[in-house]
Parts: sequence; C-alpha cells; structure tokens
Amino acid sequence: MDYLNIALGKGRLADRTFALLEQIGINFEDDHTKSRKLIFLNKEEKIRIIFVKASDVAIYVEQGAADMGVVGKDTLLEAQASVYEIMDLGFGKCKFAVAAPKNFTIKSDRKLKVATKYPNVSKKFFRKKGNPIEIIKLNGSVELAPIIGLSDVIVDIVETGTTLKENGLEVIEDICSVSARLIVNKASFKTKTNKVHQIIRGLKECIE
Amino acid sequence: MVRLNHFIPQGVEDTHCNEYEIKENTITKIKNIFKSFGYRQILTPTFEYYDLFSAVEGTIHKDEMFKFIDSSGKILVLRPDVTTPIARMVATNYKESFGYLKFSYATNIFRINDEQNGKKREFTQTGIEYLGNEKPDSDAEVVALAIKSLISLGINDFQIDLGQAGYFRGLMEASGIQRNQQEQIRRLIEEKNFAELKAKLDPLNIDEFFKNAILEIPYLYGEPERIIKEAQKFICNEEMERSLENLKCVYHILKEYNYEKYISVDLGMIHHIDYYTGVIFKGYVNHYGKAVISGGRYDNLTKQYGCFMPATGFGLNIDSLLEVLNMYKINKEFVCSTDYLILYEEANRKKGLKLALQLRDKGFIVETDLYEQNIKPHIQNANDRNIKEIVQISGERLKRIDIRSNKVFTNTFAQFLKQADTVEIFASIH
Repeated sequence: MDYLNIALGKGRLADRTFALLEQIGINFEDDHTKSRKLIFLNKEEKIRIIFVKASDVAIYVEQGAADMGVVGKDTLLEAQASVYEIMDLGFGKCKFAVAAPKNFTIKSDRKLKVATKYPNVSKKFFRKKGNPIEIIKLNGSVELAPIIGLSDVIVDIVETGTTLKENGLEVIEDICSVSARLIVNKASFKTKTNKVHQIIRGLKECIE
Repeated sequence: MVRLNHFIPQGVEDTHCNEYEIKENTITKIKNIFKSFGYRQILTPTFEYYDLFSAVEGTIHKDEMFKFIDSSGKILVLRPDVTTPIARMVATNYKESFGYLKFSYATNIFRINDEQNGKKREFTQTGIEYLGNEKPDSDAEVVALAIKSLISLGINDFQIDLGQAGYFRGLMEASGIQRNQQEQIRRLIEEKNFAELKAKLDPLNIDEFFKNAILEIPYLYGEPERIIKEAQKFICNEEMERSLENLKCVYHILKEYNYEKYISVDLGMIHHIDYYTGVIFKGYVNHYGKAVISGGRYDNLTKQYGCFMPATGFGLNIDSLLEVLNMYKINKEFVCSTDYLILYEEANRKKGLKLALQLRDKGFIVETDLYEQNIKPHIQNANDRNIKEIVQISGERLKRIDIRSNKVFTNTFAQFLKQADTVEIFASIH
C-alpha cells in the first residue's frame, strides 16, 4: 500500500525516464528493455513502475491509480486530465502542427476536413481561430488522409518533418510545442508529500 | 436494433441491500453530526430550470448538466449541485431573515461525464451551507465539521488543504494583468505547471515583483504557519492583506478545535476563483486519488439572486467515501440478515402471525411463511437469505432449527418468548 506508483508509456519516454531515475539512485532489478513485464519494483525505495499505453498515462494519474507519470504534452493536451503538471522534462521534443499537401489553400466556402489522432487539440485550435471544421478521428497513418482525399489537412505531432515530406505534405501552421512532462496526482501530491518531492527534487537537479 | 432492456447506462448503478445498509449508516452518522451543530436538513427538487444554473457564476460547467425539455418548452436540468438551489431558496424564502441559516442535505447529484473514465453520473453528496455569518469562526466551524465527519467514520489518515481565494485575486488586481490572461495564469498555477507559468509570464509587461510573486504562488503550500509567513512578503494591497489575515485567523480557530494536525495550506489552490470569495478547502484521504471533500466561502452567490448573504459550506462525496472505507477495511462486511422465520400451517396461521408480531415488537426481524410438507426448501431459503433460525409451529409447541449450527430443539411458546427476551440484548443491529 505504501508503494509510490509511477505510470509510463512504453517507448522512448520510458527509456529516458528509467535513465533519469537511475541517475537519482532509483534502480530496478529487471531490465525493462529486455523484459516483457509491465511492473517493475524497487523494494528498498518502495517505488513501482507500471507500463501502460502512452495515451492512458494521464487517466491513471488523474484517477489516482498511479501517483505520478511521465507523458508527452501531446497526449496530456488530448486527455484534458486534471493533474499537476509539475515539470517539463525537456526530452521528447516535437510540435503540434497543421499539415497539408503542397500548394494547398483553405477554401472559405466550406468546412475544413481535419484528420487527426487528436480531436480535442484540433477542435480547440480551430475554434480559437474561428474556423469551422469537421474532425475525422484516425488511429494512425494520418499522413495518408489528405493524399487519398479523406481530409483536407491533418493535425499531428511533427518531429523532423521527414514523414511529412516523404508523403508530399508540409506544415502550414504550428499549434504548439510538445515535450515530456512529469505529472502528479493532486491527492498524492498532498498526501505522499515526502516521496513525491524527493523524486521531483532529484529529477529537477538532473535536468538543470 | 439492440434492445437495452437488460442494461443500465454508463455512470449509474444499482445499490444492493448490503451496500445500501452501509451507505445509509454512513450518511446517518454524518447527518447526526451536522444536526448536533444545529444544521437543519432540507431538500431541493430533483430538477430545476436551466436558467437557475446558467445565469449565475457557479462551479458546474454547463456541458456537465443533464438537460431536458418540459411540455412548455422550458429547459430543465437534473440537480447538478446543491449549493446553487439552496442560494435560490434562501434568496426567495428567507430574504427577511435576521438569523443565521444553517442547512444540511444528503442527496443525489447528476453530472454528465462524456469521457469513459469511470466517473459516476449520479452520486450521493452530503454537506452543509452556513449563511449569514461572515466571521472566521463560521469558516472554521465548517472546516471543523468536515474533519469531524471523517473522524466519526473512523478515517484518521487524511488532510485538509486550506486556501484563500482573495489572496490570488488581490495579486491579480494589483498586477494589472488583463482578464483573459489572468484565467490562463490561474490555470497554470492550479496545475502547478511551473515551466509554462514562467514562459507565460516572461513576455508580460508587468513589474518584476509581480512576476516573482506569481511564480512563487504554486510553491506556497505545506505547513500553515510557515506558508502564511512566507506569503506575507508578496502582500501589495488591502485585499491580499485581509485575505491572509483571515486565513491565519481561521487556522488559529481550527487549532482551538485541536484539529491543527489535519490542516495544511495551499495558496495555489484557486479553482473557481469567480465563485469562491474567501477561505476554500479540499479534503484528501491518504492513498485515495481524489478529493473527498470540497468547500469554501462564496459570499457573492446569493447576491446574484438579489439578496446579499455571506455564505460558506462544503460537500462530501459519499460514494468516494465508501470507496475509502472499503479500501481501509474500516467498514465491517455487512450482510443483511433475518432473526426468525416462522412457519405455520393453515390451521395455526393466526398463532404464527401473532408470534411474529410479538417478536417484532421486541425488535427482531421476523419473516413468516406457510409450511409446505417438506422443511428442505425452507432451510434452503433460510440459508440463502441469511435467516438465523426457523421456528416451526406444531400445535402448542415450537420446533426451532438453528440454521448455522443445524441444532434442533423444542420449546413451548412461553419458553420461547422468555428466551427471546434475554437474547434481545444481543440481537442484531437494527
């Protein structure tokens, strides 16, 4: 019961987080890159890492199933979870952008069709701009949508732009930048103060 | 078309008998505490006009309300919170009142959660509203009641976070930051989003003093006396000074209640800043990921209905609390039971019914049924329903079967009733 649970989404963010935790002296017996386990324990420090789907990290933390988590700002914006967003960890940098086929121009006489994995982010962005849009929610290979004619533009995270370029798309507008965030459950922040702060302090020193 | 006749919608559920009993006992305990402090229980309608909630600054987002339309075309909503209807009630019915108004409630609340995130769309909330008293003593009393409620249920591992809405509002006013920017800053502070808060403040054309102060607010949490002292250095107008003084005073009174060990302060707690006007608070139980208590002072609400009355109160989420009690295994597993099942034949039905009545008058739970040649189905039924004893009438005598020990013995009516008198003392809780 006294374990501190940290939720991570499998992938690069998790690798970086494990490395950071190791730097502040929190090690785990099993090597997460080799193991298929979903739970990793540090019995001395009573810290438990749980692997969940990246887009589920925010909900685990919001509901208190995990006390802390590391999550990309992209999934955090999409999940709209009520959590403390304590720290910008600085890695996993990319940006949210609107992309379209080359030479695309927005027509004002009809709704813009937007294909995306991030409907909430897209709606919010275009609402702010005052453009009416129609969302087409996809789960992957979003770049295909405008090429095949499923949508006019896409909203997606862009790292280097290579995938876009290879598919004949280009960024027409940036939405915001994205990086990995340390999030904390609001109740745990107050009730498990010592352990939570020990980790926050440690990570902060590592990063600065 | 899929027929949904076997299903219930997302976010609502049946409450079965054992669970219901626990829930009711929990509510009763809390209600008795409220009553002992002079809070009088009231009930507002299950649905009201949408206008009531949409026209005032409240705590519930419009999209979260269940709406429907009555035959005259008016939009109605299922009770999305209790404080607003109570403010409406006070403003219409107690305008001329000179005394304090102290109300309590225990009722169901309805909220739409579009997300499939396990949140309930119907839940039970109990709480109090204390109107007409501006003194910090009333703020402290409300917090003390929240604490006492948790303690009465056997929960000791919890924390009450105190904030003061006026401190942040005063700072915003003094800083001269525009209204729409204020909201973004408020959100970042509320999220303790230090990184983005700094990025947000950097380009703003305001005095460095304010930038520093705003950046420090999310750190102003923890041990009350230290935080109140630290917060002094950012005071730059009367509202901030008054707010901090008020918070100090409320904390001081809570110390006199001997509750200081439960209290911490978080001046970065600034939700619904247009609604709350003074001390605000949230209650967290260790190892439980959601706040179970939320409350604060909301002096402006009744004013919006044309009748100014200072007010404070809190709500306690009973469903969350039951989860906590389960988690800590504080509630004994409760199983509904029956003390006696009296079996009669047609000829002695009258005798059986009379005996049942006598036993019920003594406080026992008694069921009766017609005996059907064979005792087996009755024993099965007794096992299933958790009936402790079968009493079968045969002529002038009673055949008693203790279901748990499977022992059988025979009594006269008089013997049985005499014995029942002595067990009465040990009888189950009802």
